[in-house]
Amino acid sequence: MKFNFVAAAMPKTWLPPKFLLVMKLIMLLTTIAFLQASAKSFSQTVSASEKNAPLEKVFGIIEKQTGYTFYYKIELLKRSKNVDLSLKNAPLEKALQIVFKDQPLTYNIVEKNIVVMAKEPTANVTNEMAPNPLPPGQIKGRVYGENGALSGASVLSKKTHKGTSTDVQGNFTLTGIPDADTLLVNFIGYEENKIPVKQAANGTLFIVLKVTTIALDELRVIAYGTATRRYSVGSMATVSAKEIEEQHVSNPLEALTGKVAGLQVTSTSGAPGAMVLTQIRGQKTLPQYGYLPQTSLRDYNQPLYVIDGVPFAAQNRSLSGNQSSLSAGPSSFYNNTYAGVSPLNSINPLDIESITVLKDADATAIYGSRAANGVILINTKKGKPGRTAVNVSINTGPTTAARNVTMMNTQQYLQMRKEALKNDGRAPSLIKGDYDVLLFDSTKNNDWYKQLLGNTAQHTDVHIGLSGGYNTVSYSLGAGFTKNGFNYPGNFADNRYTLNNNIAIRSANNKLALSLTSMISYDDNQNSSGVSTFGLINLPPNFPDLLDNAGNLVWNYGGYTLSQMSKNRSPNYYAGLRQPHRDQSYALNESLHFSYSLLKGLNLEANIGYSRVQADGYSATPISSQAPASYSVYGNANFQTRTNQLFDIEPQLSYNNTFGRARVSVFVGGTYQKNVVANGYITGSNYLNDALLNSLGGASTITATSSNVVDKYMALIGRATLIWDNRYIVNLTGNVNGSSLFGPDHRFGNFGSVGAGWIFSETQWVKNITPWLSFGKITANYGVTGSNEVQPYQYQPNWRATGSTTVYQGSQTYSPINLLAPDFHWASKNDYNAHLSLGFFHDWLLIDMGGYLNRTADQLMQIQLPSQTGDSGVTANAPFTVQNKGWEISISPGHTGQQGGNPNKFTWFAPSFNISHNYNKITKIDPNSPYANVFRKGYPSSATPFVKYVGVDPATGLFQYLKADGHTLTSTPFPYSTFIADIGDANQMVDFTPAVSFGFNDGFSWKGISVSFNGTFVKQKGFSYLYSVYSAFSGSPGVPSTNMPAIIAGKQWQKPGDAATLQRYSATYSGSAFASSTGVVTDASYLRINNVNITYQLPSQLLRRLSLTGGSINIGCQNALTITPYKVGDPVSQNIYNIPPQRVFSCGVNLTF
Amino acid sequence: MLLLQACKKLIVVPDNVSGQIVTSQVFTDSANATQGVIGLYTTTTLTNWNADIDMGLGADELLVNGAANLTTSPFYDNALTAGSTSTFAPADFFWSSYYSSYAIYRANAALEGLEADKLLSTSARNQLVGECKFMRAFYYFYLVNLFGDVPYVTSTDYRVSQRLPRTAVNTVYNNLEQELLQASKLLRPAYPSAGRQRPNRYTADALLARLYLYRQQWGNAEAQADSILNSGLYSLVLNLDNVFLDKSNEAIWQVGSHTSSFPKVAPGGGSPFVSSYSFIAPAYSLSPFVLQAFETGDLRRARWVASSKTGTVTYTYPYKYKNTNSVNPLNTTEDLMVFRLAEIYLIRAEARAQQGNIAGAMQDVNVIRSRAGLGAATAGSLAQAMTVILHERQTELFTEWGHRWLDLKRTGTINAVLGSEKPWWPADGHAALYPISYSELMYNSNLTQNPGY
Repeated sequence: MKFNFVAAAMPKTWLPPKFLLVMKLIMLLTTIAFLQASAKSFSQTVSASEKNAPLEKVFGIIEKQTGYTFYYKIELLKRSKNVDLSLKNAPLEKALQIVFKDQPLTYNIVEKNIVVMAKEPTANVTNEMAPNPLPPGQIKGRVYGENGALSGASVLSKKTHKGTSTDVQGNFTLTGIPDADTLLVNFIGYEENKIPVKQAANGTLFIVLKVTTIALDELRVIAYGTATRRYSVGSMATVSAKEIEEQHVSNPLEALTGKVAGLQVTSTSGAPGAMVLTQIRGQKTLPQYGYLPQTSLRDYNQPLYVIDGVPFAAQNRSLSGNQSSLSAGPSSFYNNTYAGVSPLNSINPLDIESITVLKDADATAIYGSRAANGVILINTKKGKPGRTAVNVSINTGPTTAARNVTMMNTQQYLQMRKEALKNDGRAPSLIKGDYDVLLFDSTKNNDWYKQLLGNTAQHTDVHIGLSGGYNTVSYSLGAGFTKNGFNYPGNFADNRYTLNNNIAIRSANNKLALSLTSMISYDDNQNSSGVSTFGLINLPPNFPDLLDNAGNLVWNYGGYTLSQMSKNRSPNYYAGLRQPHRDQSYALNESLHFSYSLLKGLNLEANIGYSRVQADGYSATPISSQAPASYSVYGNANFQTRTNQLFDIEPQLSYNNTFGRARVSVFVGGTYQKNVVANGYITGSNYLNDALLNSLGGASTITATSSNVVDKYMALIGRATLIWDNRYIVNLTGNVNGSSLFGPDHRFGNFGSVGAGWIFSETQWVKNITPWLSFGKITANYGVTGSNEVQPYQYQPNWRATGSTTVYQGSQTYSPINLLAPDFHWASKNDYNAHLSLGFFHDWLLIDMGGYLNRTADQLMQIQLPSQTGDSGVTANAPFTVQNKGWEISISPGHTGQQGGNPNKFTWFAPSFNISHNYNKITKIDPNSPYANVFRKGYPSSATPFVKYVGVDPATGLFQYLKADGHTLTSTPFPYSTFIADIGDANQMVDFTPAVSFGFNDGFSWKGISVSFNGTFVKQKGFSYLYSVYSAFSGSPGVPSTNMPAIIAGKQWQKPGDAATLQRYSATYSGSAFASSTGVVTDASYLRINNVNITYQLPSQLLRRLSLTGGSINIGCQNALTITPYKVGDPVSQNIYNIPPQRVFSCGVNLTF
Repeated sequence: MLLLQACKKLIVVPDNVSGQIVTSQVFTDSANATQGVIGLYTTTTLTNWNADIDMGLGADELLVNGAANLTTSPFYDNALTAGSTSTFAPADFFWSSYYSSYAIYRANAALEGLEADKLLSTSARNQLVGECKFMRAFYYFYLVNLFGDVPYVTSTDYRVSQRLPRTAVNTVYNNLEQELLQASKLLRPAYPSAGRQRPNRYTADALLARLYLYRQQWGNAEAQADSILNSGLYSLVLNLDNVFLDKSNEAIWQVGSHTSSFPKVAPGGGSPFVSSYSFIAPAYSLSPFVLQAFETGDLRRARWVASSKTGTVTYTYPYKYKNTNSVNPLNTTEDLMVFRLAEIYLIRAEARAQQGNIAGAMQDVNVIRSRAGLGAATAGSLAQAMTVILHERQTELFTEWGHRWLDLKRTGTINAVLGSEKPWWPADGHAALYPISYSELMYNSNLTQNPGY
């Protein structure tokens, strides 16, 4: 235990001196159980040599050496004497005897706490407290927890069922309690303490509760408060700091992979800092074409991200305003809201205490409209009272691209090209672009893929954490630096600097508490703006060198420009790497929590938050990165700033009390939230000198646009919870939401939920028949949540001043920019949930099983429209109903904290598993809506219509498809127009969302070494590499200057009668129709070991010599192993023209001072 | 109640977002309203790029050189497709951008704004309403000629427009006639701004004349042509090099080029007709059919056609616009010609011929021929006259706004002409109408595809 808390252990005001000794005795008796538990470690020894040392200093020495914590009131030490010590490996008790000899003080050991008290009552206390002995049957007491007195702890008499709860100083009084009774003392997050009343003997009890290690009772942060799994009726999951720390990821969202049933985590790219998407329990709206999140990213439902109670200003919207190689891929991939730099990358995972995922109506209803897609609560580390502990961790290691693609070598490539020309019946010709066959050096064999992505990058992570406190103040500080390199050549990196701090203050009377948490971070992502660089991947292996010996860009070969010889007319694919792109982001998240106890059980609280994420983007096209031309070549630069600001104030009033067997908590509150998004975009063009590109000063022409958008949100919220007899739970929430995003007549919406639970294991007959069942709870809830996820001001037609680019006859012009859409309104989602939670063998193992069904009928979205309306879409409520229904099972260890047993013995950790399945279905679709032709009732909303592929025609060697009327359709010989299909022909609905997701964690320890690993199994369909091969970006095998993955060689049709899997090679045929047929759909299931981590705890002898209280060495590997039937590329990214997921090796040390 | 009022106050935001205004704020005064309307002339939809190149390729005016490309080769191949979810529909440009907020939607929005407005003077409103009605008619004229029946949308409310089926060409034409007659009444003969960069009454009349010609209402066509020719505002520019200059007296409406950098059919570095590299063929060149059409001594062959060389091959290209500065196309004295007097002469010639006035027809044709340095043409019959007129249209109006493509279609000669010139021309002639793109059919199930696609 590295923390302690200094509190008023023996307040003078209420303690009757004559019962002091009795109390001490009771204290000892009531804590015997604890003492037994930790008796072994009593052999702790103390070594010290001090002369005339103040007691405070001595306490400090003992705390440091033993890990025990002193509880005392500072005034007490005023009367203490300094001590001389000369101890060598003296047992703690011996040492304490020496220290307390001749002091006016005495002590008691409770758990690992040493409570220091005055030996003799002081005179004024005697006077104050002497007069009235307690009447018979009356019991007074005080309840303490980890951080001092516990306000609101419940005290219940077992016999009489009389109960009460403690006041703000932890005091309680009960009357009419018989001597033979037992008091059950409970506080959320602590173990129950059972105290026989007779021990009180008409006196006052001093009760210390112990932080629970029972997973069911551990505190976790929920919407506006904390809760335990035991009494919760909603569905949520928490990922702890330990689980996050084990993974060597830079984006905290990645650490959630496979950890939470029903949560899908998708990386958009393997590049450092790139966006990571999450989705809880399925897609609720219809995406544009139902493709993967990576390919059709519009309308991908993501949860609300809340950091320390404050909604994160940027949510999970890309910070990049310009294209960059971070969001590489075919054109449909770039420059969308979901690709680019992730705002959540600004959070250092090592600063996170826990991440809680709220999944269902009961858990999220209080967030109202903001939580229609679930909530991810990120809670940063908070100060823990006690001696200042400093933790330093350093990790570093290499990063490589996993699952690289092998492209054809020169021999294979030329064979393909020549066969294509032969099939087309023509000789190679320079006019037709066959430079690769006629002109290039056929002995050259460049592995461009390897040159681009084969490099090993380095990552380094340094983090210092500090936590401590004294008296009524506690604090913490986390400072971190993370550097992640890119695989591709050049000086690119993502550098992150984070500072996270918390200070918590309580007033002396415990009534007022303030906690201020600040998170500041700066991220500097330097990469290249040249997305075209990824065309390098399919450059022919015999293509001329792109750099000369001096490293300069080459523009010509054999009298021709490279531009004319490359497929996409790129003057030089390396040029893109010489076009800098920089995303600098500054994130600030301030959260102030204030709480004041008005009356017993009644608290006034407020959250005040300010979140700001500013992203500065810069990209430039230097003259030197452009091909020389007959006309003048100029440089260009873009400067872009996007600031997301959020101000949030949430006053709350909460009341908690116990009335007999009833525990009641009521909460009412309000939210006012203001969001401001400011954008500035400036382009400087026609620079004459590359050295001037870093400022606008050198630009001959400057164009600029800016915007500043405000929206406001308010809510009145209420929640009431009743727990009866620790068995029956009822939970009601309701809220009224208002949002300026809607038209004046549609601004308010009402939402709420109702939940109930029955802990049947508390029932005697259940106990009798199933003694092995330690916990059993059945819960159900129903709720309505909404959504206001739309752009501001969409309810009226807006006109934009088009700026200097479209001046006509010297006048600026106005352009209409959106359709008239006055009547869209709050979306609503109806959500039904049921859970069964079981604990076996004294809660050794917990099983949670849940089922859910939700229907979203009015979801807000950008509805696709035919062009005749004037735009491609409009903000409106969905004209369809999407149902998500599924089940989740998670199995987890029931006890947390230290794994028991002898550290030298081989021990398996209790494993944890989760498995989930989501069935998504469109249950209703308006036949008049634009979607009636695109999506089908009864199919998943994420399903994509494909044309049925029926194989290669053995006679002609062309791909064949099946039309709806039963006819077969073959590619036609026109280049670029190979496909004539009717709407109804795309009738094969394919769903790419995972069918089953399974996550697991386990590990073992042996001789101070602990090994942990976690992984995921996902069963899904996906795009095969053939999608990349035949999509328009690439062209089909055989076209000039286009390399292909080596695997396709030999699969093509060659002569009539061949039963081939791929169409014949051709220098002109396009296979783009194939890319929209079922021929590109494959099994993309995979089993991935996400993380393996080996930690060696340094031996205590060594730690002591180094004056450390803790230390370990670890090595780890992220993305360690993937087993998949997916052939080429990665089953997650499903695109060979993207940066593959990284395999990260890491080694590091972690030291605690 | 009180609480609700307080809540309402909490979420009050300004009426408009920064950098944007609502329709009622646009149509407040003459200056602002004009800014809302003249955006109609700045847009890329008015560039003659697609009209000239795509329709020129589809007809027999232009060739694709070098490698095939996704966007224009299908026009040349007369093998357009509707595309699919993953493939491109090249003709969709015309459909989606003509309906877009750059064109028809903008005209509709402006008309609605002007309708609701109470502050503008009648004369200012008349001018702006006339311009919007003219522009809307202009885009619909091209839509029906390219696609056949099209949805006739006059509202900005997507709830009204999103399910509209195709309206018969004839009905659309009737609407356009009414709109253009109104526009002609609302617009004044004088141009509302400097030069001829915003439409006047005669611009509406020019489109009306063309509409009557296409509908074979010869008398009306002649009357409209008369009104323009007799206005005294216009005359043919005798020097062929000056026809396309800013403030050319032949111009009825020309879009100011001192605006945005819309591409023009003009040579120059980076232009599609002249390669930047000595060894790469230009993307397009004039077809032999156009070149053969010029009679010996036709000045237009010398002044409006130029050539460049790649290796040993000579490529010819249209040289009506002379600007060769691709880096900064703004500083040019040329404007983008949309309607010019030569077409009006040819409209009247055809209208006269069809009404039996062969001599009058030849008189008009010969005005054009004489400028081109050619001798007078004669005709003894309507058929002969029509041959002369259509030939003159081919050589006078080549690569301008798809005249050749549309003339072949409206005269019913497309199958015969292109069938003999292009071996791949489909026998059923379905390629004369562009396909409606897959995505349009997908999002409006009331739309039907053109036959053959």
